Amino acid sequence: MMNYRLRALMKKEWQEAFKNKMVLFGITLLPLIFLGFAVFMLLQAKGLPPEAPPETKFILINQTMFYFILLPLIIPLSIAVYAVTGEKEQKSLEPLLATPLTDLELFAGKVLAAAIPGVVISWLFFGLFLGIASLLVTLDLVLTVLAPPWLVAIFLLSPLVAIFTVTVSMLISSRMSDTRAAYQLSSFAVLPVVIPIFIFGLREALLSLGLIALEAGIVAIVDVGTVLLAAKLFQREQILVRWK
Amino acid sequence: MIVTEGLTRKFKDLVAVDHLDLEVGEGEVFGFLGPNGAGKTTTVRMLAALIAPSSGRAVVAGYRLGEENHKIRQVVGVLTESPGLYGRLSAYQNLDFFAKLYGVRERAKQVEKYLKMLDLWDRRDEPVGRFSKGLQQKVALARALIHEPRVLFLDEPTAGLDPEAAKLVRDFIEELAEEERRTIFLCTHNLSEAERLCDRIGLIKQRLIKVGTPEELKGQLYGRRTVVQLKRLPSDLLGGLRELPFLEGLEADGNKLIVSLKDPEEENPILIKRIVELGGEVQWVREMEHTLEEVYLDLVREDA
Repeated sequence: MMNYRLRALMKKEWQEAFKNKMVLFGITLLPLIFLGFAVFMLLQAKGLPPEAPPETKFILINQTMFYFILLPLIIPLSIAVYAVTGEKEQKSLEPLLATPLTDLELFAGKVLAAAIPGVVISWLFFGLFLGIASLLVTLDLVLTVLAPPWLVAIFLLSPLVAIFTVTVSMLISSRMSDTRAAYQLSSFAVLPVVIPIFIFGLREALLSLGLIALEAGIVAIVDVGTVLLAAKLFQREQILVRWK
Repeated sequence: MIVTEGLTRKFKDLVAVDHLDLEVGEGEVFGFLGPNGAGKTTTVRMLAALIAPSSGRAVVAGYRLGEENHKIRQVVGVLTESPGLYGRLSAYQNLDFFAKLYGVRERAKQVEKYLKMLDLWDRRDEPVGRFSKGLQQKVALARALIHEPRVLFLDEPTAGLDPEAAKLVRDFIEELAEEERRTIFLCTHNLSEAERLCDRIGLIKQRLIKVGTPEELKGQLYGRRTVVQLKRLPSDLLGGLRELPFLEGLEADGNKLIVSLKDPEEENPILIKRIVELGGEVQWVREMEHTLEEVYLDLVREDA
């Protein structure tokens, strides 16, 4: 069971983040735009003439999935960046560190508070996408996006990708004092995860379970490294003396 | 309540705090004075278990620094120089969050108590980012007290506040010290504030220069001096006075005599009688006052 200090920190993070326009934009408008793109891709796949080569349809469906991998990458970004730079800007780190909150609770609270909305909102919009798809396209197309590669991508790769985004953003933000600069740099830093998925999506075959599992495996290994590195940064003395 | 032995903190080659030996008693308001970069904030950070000392030992509220840091953080409250509040959250939300972190029982009552005590209850739901700096500092003070700490560290609590806001905060600290009998460790540049609030004062410049009550510090540096204003200075007066056995120092400044004495209560009547016998016409007599500012500046200069 989650301890009370961790819960308190997560609640505070959300109270703060959801009053921030940049964060609000990231968690509401962007998913809506991506949902629109995903539905559009699916409708394009549906509207293909029967004589169209099957590769065209595969590329469209693969690109649809790309939006749902992108969501857990982008949504936590602004929350994670703000979780660190916001504390710096407000000079609230020292009073926070003076409490009995442990270093691990501080780190875990910040990571979870940023990653959970990313994953939950992605899942929520995936559900919404399925609902819209079932109304607009044929059953076989709906079943294509309910296949194992999709499900592994949404329910395994997404959380892993969200953790990657959060830890990388925190590592970058700990070294920067400007929120916008930290946000921009973090956006570039998550590209290594996005690019392979994008390239796979251009293949002329549906994404396979093996490929998605491989990507998930690689991201999981990278996650372990970044989490360990970020956890080292979240030590009282480091934060007070080194974070500028 | 606070004991340190040889407490030292180095940042690479820079010695921020050098072998600090200090004792602060329960219920005492201890002022920590020193110029910028003297090591005041580093000392507070060490004693509040935020950073580790490079060497030396300390016990805070009965807990050993380095071994029982978590317990120390549970029983101390820290007010930093800037309020460090969450600007988008309300005063209530800020205090409630910290009350949760400290595991305060009857949280709502405790938050209400401090918001009312600081006249912030009516504005409890406003984001603190909209508050003036003085009001923000009051919320920060409430935050430092929300878990009823046994030791309160106040680092420049009135720095950057306008005189009215500074007075509000100062009055509240005075009230805390008088009514609640908490141990308060007050870092300040403001010498009149230290003189008004503190039982004892420590002067620091990397190492501890002097410790004592404001009166003791003045006495240690200047002794006690009596000023005698005469209508005119008779030529043989100084020579005659120097024969007095208890006189520790004598100087003339125009028609004014400045006399250093060990026990002015006993010695002043004899001194005045002798001045009159030697033909001096006394206009008035008073004890020479020194401000803490003079003491501070002289000690810091002396140390340099």
